[in-house]
Amino acid sequence: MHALLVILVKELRQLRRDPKLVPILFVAPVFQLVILGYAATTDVRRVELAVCDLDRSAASRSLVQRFAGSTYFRVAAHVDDQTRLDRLLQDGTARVALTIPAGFAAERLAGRAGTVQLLADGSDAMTGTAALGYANGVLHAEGGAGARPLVELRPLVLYNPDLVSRNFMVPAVVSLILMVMTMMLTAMAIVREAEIGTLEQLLVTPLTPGLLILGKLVPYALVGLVEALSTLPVALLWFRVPLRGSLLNLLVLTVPFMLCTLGLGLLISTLSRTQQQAMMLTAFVFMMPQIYLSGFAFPIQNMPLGFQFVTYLVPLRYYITILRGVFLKGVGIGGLWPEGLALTGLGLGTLLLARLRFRRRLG
Amino acid sequence: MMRRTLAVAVKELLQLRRDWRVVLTLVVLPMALVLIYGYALSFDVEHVRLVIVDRDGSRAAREVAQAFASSGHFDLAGTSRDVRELDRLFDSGRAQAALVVPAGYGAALAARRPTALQLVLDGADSQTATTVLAYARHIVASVTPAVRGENGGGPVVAAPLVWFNPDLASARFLVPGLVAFILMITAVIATALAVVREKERGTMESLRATPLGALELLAGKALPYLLIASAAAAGSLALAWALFDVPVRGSLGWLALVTVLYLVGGLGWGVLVSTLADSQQVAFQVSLLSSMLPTMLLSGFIFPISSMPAALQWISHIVPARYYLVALRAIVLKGAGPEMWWQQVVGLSVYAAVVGALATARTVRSL
Repeated sequence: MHALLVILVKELRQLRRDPKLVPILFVAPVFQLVILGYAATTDVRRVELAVCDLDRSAASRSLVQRFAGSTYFRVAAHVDDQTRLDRLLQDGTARVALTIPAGFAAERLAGRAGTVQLLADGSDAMTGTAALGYANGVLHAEGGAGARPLVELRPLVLYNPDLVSRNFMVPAVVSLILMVMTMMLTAMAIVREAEIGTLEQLLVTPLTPGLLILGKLVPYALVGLVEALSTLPVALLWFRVPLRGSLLNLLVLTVPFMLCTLGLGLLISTLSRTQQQAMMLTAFVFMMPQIYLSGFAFPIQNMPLGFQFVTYLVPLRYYITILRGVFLKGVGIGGLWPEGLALTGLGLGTLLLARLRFRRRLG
Repeated sequence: MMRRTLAVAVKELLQLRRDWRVVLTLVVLPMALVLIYGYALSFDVEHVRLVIVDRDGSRAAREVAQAFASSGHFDLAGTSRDVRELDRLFDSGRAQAALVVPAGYGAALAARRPTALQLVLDGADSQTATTVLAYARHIVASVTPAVRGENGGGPVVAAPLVWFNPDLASARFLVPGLVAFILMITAVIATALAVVREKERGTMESLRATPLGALELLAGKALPYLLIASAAAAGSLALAWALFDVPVRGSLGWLALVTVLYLVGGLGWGVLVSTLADSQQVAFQVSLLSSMLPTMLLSGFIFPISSMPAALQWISHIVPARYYLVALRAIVLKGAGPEMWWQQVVGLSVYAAVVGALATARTVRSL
């Protein structure tokens, strides 16, 4: 126990000695969350629209007005010649172009459908899809004074009624920052000692490898928890993400996640000889899959089946489910124990693996 | 100047050859990542787990349910007669959407009275929910009849036409972003570490004792990495073209020029980071955080810049990937010539020049 304390103190002191590390550890997460919380929005708003009104009637002006008045579109250009729309789409001035053909008003007056042409830039598929959907909504509303569908579809949106993507993304950003910080720190901790040569010195002390590992992990676990706690107020008070579940549940379920990130960090450090290798391994082999295969930005259900199976090995996947569940759905441990269990299993597994690798290295 | 820069470059290459794992990482890994994530990532919303609550049981109700099931967007996750059961299905994530057909739906439709269907959605993922709602509206409109309004006037319909990516496949849009993302990280981390390593080992001192100028030293150190990163870029773009249907409609020469300009900026940033950091640990943290996250989040790779608050839109101007992505997508997908994206080239050049100047100034000072 005493030996453990000694190495804990040594490790914390070492952390403190690097003056540039402390701001990175504690200021950066909050700063990142503020920036990323704003940036990570998939809401499509103010899509640049180019209008080519060849009809110039009251009806066509009313339609353009409806587009301009919606929050989804911003009229970026008016042109008289349809051929000029090509250029606007190519250089990115407009993402959607609306052409109202001559005779539009006359057709509608006669009770027939007035057809307009919508030209969308598909190179940004996401914005394109959303913009076409919104445009159809605008057209539907404009035509609503005339024909009405017999069956209306009434949406009822659960958990996030205003469909604010921030509520979905901010909890995920919190988990991402927590993972990046703790995994990277731990990964570097041991490799650095090995590279500098001080690991040899630690090994001749009466510390057992198990204690040594524990003494290396606990400070970083503490750092991680403090980081998690410092980002929460930003999510709750600044971004006003609703917290429908209990904070205690959240913290309890954070522990097995940290087990995973610390275990992975340790594993990386046993797999690499130099800090450079450790960094590369962290960035590409351990971090990117977590970001991309966790459902952070890309829905898991859209992935090919093989990849969906791989995602079960990604700790962040479970933690994001936990965070979104607790924040948005108010689910408690009762509903999230499978995720907690999976994280515990993965965490213990990686720690064990790291411990085995560590012993092999010593031998 | 040229000769001494080259000498440093050759020394760096020799050193790299000894650490073959790093070279392998730098060239093969970007390609592998494009390959893996190109397949894995998609915004195309499919296989939405739909539960149907049919409280009507009429033929019309079955018809509309059938239309949802066979649309290709939905996977039938179950049927239920009880609305109260939905709570559990949504909480556990087993349902993402539920179509509720109210009792009397068939009768109302037969009598041509207006009626309504309810679509319950899991709004937590707002983007998927928005898309699902649009699909559902389309399905309902296509299988149910319309009535003429009293005040006359025909409806307004659209003839949509999508350019550059007619089937709106998200891969064509995401893969170029992925390439930009991976290249940036590779370039920044590799150079940052290369310089800091010398500092840490103390060999920087011996390099300083040589008659090399700061610029020669930095350029020499960055040159091998520019070669490696260019190889990685060529490989990644070739993969995107061969496997993911990312067409190259514009000129290859322009593509190469813009890409190299982008890489120079990334390498410059790596060098700048390394002059600021004293240890590899700090260099890694700073270079990763300053390249990975902004490139992913502030470049328009995943999240549309036009939807961000004005302040962030301003900040995004210092993210080089922002310019590169616009130019890359314009060349590759739109086949646009330089007159369409010259502003992006200006942006990339200014970035590279500023970062390069800062890095040189820092090095001179520390010498």
